[in-house]
Amino acid sequence: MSKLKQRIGSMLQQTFDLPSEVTLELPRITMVGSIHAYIENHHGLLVFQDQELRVKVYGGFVRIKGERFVLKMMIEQEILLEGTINEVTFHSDKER
Amino acid sequence: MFYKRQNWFKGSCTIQVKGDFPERFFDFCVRKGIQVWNVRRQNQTTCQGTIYVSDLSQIRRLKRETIYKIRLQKGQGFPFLVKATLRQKPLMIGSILAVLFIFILSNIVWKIEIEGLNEDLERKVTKQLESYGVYEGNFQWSLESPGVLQRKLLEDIPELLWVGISKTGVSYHLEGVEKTIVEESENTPASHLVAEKEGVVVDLYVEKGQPLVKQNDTVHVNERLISGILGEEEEMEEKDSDNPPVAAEGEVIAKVWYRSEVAIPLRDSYGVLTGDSENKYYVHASNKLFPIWNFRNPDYHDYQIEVEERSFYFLKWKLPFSFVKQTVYQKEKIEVDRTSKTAKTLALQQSRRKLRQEIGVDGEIIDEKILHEKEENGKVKITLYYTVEEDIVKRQPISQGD
Repeated sequence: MSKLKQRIGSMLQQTFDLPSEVTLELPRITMVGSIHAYIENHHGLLVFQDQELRVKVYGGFVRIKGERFVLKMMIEQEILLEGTINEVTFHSDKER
Repeated sequence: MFYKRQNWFKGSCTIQVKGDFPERFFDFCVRKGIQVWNVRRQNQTTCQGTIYVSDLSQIRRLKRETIYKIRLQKGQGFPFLVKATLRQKPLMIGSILAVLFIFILSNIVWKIEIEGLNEDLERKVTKQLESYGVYEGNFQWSLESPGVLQRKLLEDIPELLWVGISKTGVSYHLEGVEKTIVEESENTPASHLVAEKEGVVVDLYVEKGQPLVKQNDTVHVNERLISGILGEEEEMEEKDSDNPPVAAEGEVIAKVWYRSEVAIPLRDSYGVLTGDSENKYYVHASNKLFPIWNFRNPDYHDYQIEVEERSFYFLKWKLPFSFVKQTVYQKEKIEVDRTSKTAKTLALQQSRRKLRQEIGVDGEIIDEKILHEKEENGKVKITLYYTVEEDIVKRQPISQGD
């Protein structure tokens, strides 16, 4: 059922040229060099440490690693992360 | 871009969260719509973040639903700055004193400038002003308004022709004009004396000029009584400079008749102040009067109120409140019932007084005759006829014929 929904969603997106994060509920991560990362459309904060940030997204989670992390701003579904970012990795639920 | 600058005026505070996965508490807050910023992980079990002070009560409520321990750390922003300033007693006392001081100083007379008067008169004015309380160093709120001072000065110093008092902030500025007593110039231009009123000549005193009327002559208004031209009139027209025209001087006493009508009501009522009065004090602010002294209303049935208002100043600005003194005078209504006889005597007195105003002190009332007397609509109406002897001359310049 959910697979069907996703397929319809991607079809809609292709035909109407809609922004993918809206139709597919995917996170949008904007980065300014390696010092800032805006994460929008996430589904919740899982872990936040000095060197790691884990955010739940649709069908998995995003892990950002780096140093001296500070959450400059938190509003619902939006996070502004500040620090030295080394890597951004995507993980699906199955890996866990 | 969602990043917004935090509102400094709202005031924010830093909280510390203790427990397993403390960052999840902030996530929880964010889901409830609370804005959080500057979140920092301190160690495995503690995390700190900043929120608005106004959200604190909501945080407390959320805390009860979770197992986290929350500690308030410090506040920033305007409300905390105000609080910190208020806590500094000497600073507060100092600033209050300073404002009070400025307020008191702005209500003191600092300078009195007098302009346009000679030294002697200036000293007199200064002394007079001092008696009204206008001297350097006195408080302004006990003084009368410049308009009243102006009138009083003019009354009390007869040498002053005019004085203007203007008040700018803490200084009074006076501008005076001295009365110069103009001596009647000896050479008034050549003129005749003519009749001001109609009448019968009784007496003539001619100092200068040629009389044109005799005793028992009837004269009309503007008839020439004493001519400024000596000799024959025709001579004058021939421009004979033997007898140049002079300013006629003299008095012509004539019998003049006046008619006057007076009506006196038989039943009359008028208000009289009994002399009883009471003072009430108010502070006047934003069009409302707030009583500050003497709250009770005097139980006068009929009264008259006199209001005196004084305003306060801060530097040069007029403060929006003022001090009002009300004096309530008791009034009494007096009703009189007159008989027609007393009404008649009153009417006579009244008309005589009126006549006296018209003829001045030199005139003489010779005869008084009641022409007509009737009573109707509760009034006594009297028509009187007076015979008066008075000086009727009026100066009329001789046109030199351009």
